[in-house]
Amino acid sequence: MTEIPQLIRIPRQVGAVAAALVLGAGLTTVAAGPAGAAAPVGYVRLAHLSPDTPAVDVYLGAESESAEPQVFKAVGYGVLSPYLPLPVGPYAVAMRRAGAPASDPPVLTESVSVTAGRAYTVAGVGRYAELGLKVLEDDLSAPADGRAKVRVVQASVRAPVIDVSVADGPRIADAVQFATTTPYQQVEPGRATLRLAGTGAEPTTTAVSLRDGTVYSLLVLDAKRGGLTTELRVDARGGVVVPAGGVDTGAGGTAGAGGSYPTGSALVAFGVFLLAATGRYALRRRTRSS
Amino acid sequence: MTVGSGIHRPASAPGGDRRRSGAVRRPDVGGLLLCLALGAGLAVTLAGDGGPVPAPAAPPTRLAACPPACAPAACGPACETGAATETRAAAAAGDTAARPAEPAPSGPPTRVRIPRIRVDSTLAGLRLDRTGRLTPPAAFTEAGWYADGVVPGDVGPAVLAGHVDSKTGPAVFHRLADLEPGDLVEVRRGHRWLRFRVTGSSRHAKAEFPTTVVYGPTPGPELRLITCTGRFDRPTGHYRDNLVVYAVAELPVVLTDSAAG
Repeated sequence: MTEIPQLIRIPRQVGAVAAALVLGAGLTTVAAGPAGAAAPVGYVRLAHLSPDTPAVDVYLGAESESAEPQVFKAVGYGVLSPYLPLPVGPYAVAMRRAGAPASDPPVLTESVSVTAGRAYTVAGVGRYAELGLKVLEDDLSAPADGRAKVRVVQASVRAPVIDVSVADGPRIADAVQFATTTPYQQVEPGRATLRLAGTGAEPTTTAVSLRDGTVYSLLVLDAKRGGLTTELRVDARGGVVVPAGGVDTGAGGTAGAGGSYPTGSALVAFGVFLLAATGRYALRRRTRSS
Repeated sequence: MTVGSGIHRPASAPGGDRRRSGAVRRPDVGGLLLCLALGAGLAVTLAGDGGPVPAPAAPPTRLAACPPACAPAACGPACETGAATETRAAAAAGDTAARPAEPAPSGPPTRVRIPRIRVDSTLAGLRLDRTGRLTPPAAFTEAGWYADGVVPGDVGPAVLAGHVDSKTGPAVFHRLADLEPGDLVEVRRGHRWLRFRVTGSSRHAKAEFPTTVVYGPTPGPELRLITCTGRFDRPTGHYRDNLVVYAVAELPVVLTDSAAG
């Protein structure tokens, strides 16, 4: 570093101040938080997608923590929770029969590693006999400009294989098997009628209203009174008209006389100025008294 | 004047040094300025020239201290006691009746409050300029919200922006960098205050602004608070970097019964 010789020439006191500045800046940097990773939370939601499995209590807790897990009581077939924003790290999901004490061994457990900015659906899937917990990684990325994104979560045993399409329009997914999930498909936003056809059930239609910039999951479920039913869930939504680049939110009034250094160190610098001023005051007093 | 926590430790060092040196001569202000500039130069080197800063590996302590799943959305009073939070699936209308569902917020946001950094400001509506960039608030003392984007409280990333400083001193978002995970941000919409919790922050050169992360879809209502940071470029009159603080809505988790079964 070329600056060092200069540092030596300036008074010792000021040199120490500079050291403090550098240190301070270092600390500020550490405190600044992640950059690329953005929000250090990921998202987890829970789903019960097994038609013949009775309601369950679902436990969700960080694997590394001894703290009590969060408990969702009596979650029945077809329930899909909202996403829970969680600090990143490994989590354990456990299912117990509804009402079973927490001390009972769980019927099923699964772990999910939550990464910043990613979203997961932990779902009880399959028939009761072969029930499993599955971690689905959800793709919440924005659909292409002016479009919406839909995927199918197939949880109907009554119609174990289905086709989903926009009525008189493009197909969304073909031959979707029970207990599977399709990739997201881009569709035109607006009002539409979705048509579901499959083995074992009468074709069903459902009217939906799709907004651009939005990511949806279409849950296909066995209806209470026979046939199929669907639920359209918003997985995520973003802005539609997105600004270009950053924002110019500063006029430099606290950037200091030197001009250009990070605001974090501007604060440090201000503190140092205060310190220097206090020091000067103290020195003056001492000079006067001697 | 409150300064960042990073300041306390280094501040004690020069204090000790001063006493030992016992110099009667007054600190040379010119030298001090030079030194500040130097310090800044070094600081910038450390910070990777204002570019993205490496992410700390540890999850935010505030959140981790809560019961594990007790991140903002699920955080209730039970958090404080460390008791397990229990969320009941709304059995038919039973539970929803017990806790009357508040109507969805409507209308534009009118105020933002951030207790930790003593922000309490009305919100100006912000639009895009002809080049498609977000226009900052006209007043240095007032924060703004991007009025052609997501409305705070609706699903998606709502964007609030405020100046870090004016030409003469601190502005409304001057202390945004002091926010830590878990800090409360409130936005007034209609007759309600909507509550959000800070989850983290990031810094970026404006030229490498993370548009996808800031404006991309989110599963719930979220906030992005934006101000300036980094080097101030005198010729252009703008800071080179943006600071983005991320927050998620603090909502009770309500499981709605399915039509299936």
